[in-house]
Amino acid sequence: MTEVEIDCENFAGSLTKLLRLLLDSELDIFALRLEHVVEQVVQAIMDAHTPLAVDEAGTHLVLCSTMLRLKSRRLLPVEDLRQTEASLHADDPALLSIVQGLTYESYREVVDMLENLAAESALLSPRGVVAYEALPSAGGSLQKVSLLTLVAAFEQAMRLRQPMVLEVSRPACTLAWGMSYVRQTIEAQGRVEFSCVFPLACSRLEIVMIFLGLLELVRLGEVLLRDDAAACYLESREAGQVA
Amino acid sequence: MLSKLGLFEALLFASGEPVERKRLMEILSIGDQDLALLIAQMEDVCVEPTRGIMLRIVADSLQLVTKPAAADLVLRLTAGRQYKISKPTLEVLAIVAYKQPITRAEVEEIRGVKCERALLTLLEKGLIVEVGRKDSMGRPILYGTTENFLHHFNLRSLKDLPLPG
Repeated sequence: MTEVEIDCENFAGSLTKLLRLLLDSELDIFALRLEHVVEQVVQAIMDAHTPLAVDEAGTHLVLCSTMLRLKSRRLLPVEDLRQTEASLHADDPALLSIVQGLTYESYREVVDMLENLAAESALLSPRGVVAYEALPSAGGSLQKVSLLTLVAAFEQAMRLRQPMVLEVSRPACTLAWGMSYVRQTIEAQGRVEFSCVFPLACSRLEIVMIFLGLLELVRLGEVLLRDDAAACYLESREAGQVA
Repeated sequence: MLSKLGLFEALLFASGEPVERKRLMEILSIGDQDLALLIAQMEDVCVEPTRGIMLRIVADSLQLVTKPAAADLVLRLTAGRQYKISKPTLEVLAIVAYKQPITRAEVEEIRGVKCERALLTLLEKGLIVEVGRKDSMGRPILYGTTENFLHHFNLRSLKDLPLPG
């Protein structure tokens, strides 16, 4: 839509912006001579050099009439004003749609600015961060393994491996330990069923660390997850590529 | 022996991730003013064309990042691009950013269409987060932006958001 520029004593900008400011009460409507605004809009509509399309001219006239209506409503006594402000939107679908349209339009303008900011920000890379899409592919098979499958397999492992000792874990039980344990297991056994990765006697913390280690290895692309009909299997990336 | 500036650079380099000012002050045993001085010195050093890195300040965190001029080469090294957000999702994000804390229904009222999917996407990407519940019927969830949002758009704070219209 072609914007009509308004230039008054206390405002300079587009007509839509003016209405938005008035609706949000960020500009005092009583400090504004609306006849000047209307004159400028009519002048823009009637401009012989660049005449506005009929629908656009109509929209601008509706915006002007909305401003006039708003000012007349705000001239009412306070008690009446409360009622009319409350019912302003409810009894006037046209005004409601204009307000919504203006609000929505302002956010659409911001989207372009945000896109530019994101593009500029993408030019800055922190150390060691591999871009989201540049993470090594997990071989495509990961996409066939749903999160629910993983969670179900994890819960099964938790159920099967009840702790045989008190929950006192070795200090070595860290994420690095979990990753190292999964690596060793896969190296030793090749293809391993998910629930068999966890040792028979282990604490809950160890199960959690092994699971987190496994997720980290999948993220790093060292380990592939395959979801067969019967169960979920793990294998090394090299083995997966050979297969 | 390394200077405070050298130690400051070493900490930021070793972290890779944004480091909170408070944490830096603790580790370096310095105060607010000293840190501000180090930041200014670091920015002076990084502005030299012989340096390929610069200091990025987002909210209360500091991070070393490569300069935009090196972006092409860095992208060749990492062979990747940053994820993109679709326009409709970005619209929802803009509404949340400017009107936060805001409920899903309020976002939908502004957009005129459903936005559940977009909100989920933004939650997954860590750009928005649940910040509480509105004190109204049904106690709907209120959403707000995260520090990751500031990182994604390279903003120091929400005050740096572009003004609409």
